[in-house]
Amino acid sequence: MPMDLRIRRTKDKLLLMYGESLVELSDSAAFIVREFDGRRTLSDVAQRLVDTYGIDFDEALVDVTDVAEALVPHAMVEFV
Amino acid sequence: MTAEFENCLSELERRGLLPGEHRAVYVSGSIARGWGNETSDLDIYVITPEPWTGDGEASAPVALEPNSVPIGITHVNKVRWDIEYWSEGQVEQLVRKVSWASFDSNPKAADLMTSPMQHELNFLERLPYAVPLAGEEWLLARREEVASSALRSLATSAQLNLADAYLEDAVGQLKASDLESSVLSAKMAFGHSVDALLAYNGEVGRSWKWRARRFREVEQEVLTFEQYWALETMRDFDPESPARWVEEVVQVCRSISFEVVL
Repeated sequence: MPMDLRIRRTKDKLLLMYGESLVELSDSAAFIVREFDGRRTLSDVAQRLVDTYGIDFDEALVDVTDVAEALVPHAMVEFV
Repeated sequence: MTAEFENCLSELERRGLLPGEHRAVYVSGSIARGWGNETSDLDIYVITPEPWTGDGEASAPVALEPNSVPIGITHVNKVRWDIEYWSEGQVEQLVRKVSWASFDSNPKAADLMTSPMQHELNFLERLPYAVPLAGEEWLLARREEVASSALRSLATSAQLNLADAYLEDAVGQLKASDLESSVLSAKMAFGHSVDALLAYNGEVGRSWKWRARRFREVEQEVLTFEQYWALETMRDFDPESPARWVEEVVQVCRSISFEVVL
């Protein structure tokens, strides 16, 4: 994620701002976005979701991929 | 009223600094909070039904009507007393400014909490630990109003905005290899991020000199005092590798932004 990504959380939303882009996600996405540290794979993040919330891995991977794909067009994350 | 302040009212009256009509008089600031030392000023607030027209030594501009707060200054036993005369109407306007209605309806409400509001923010921040000398009921009612207001969210938001602005600078300067400037910007960003964390946890004051004290007052799990102090004092800063320190600060600021909920 860019070093100067702006992050705001409200009761039910996670707002990410970078340059002129603003992406609004549900607050539950905060956990996922926080895990994007430039080293973890999508599977790693999904596994962290499983370990923390006890959800099914496939379901977690879909959630993580959805969040990543929402951010990629705005250059907030990039796949490497 | 505590014994420490029991002579304040009579002393004010004797010096012609106590208006005949007043809704409340209270002491606040570092001395009232127990953080004072022998060089500290005593901060006294006098709330009047109408704007005070006495001879103030100074005045502080406020974004309210009237647009200034008269300040009386006197010295008692070598301690400087700063006496601020706020009208009840000014306080009412200020409480409205930090209401949830204002916060929810105005996306730029946080701007109200940036530097031009310093004096007003001090007033609000000092209510919870103020020691009443007169008009305790008035003070308790205002304290309750402010406690249930959007002040925390406004102050948090304002600090995050300032932190982001400095982070943006720090990153830009880092990219331009202006490392010294980047370090200074990151230092500023860190301070505002910590202030955001503290505001989120109820410590809305912004006085830099009391930040460590304020930090110790809150319970949170984002940053230990040791981590905070190491960055505040730049303990691990390596002049040979300033970018590393900037990057660490950015990570900490990000953690704080993820943690606080407006």
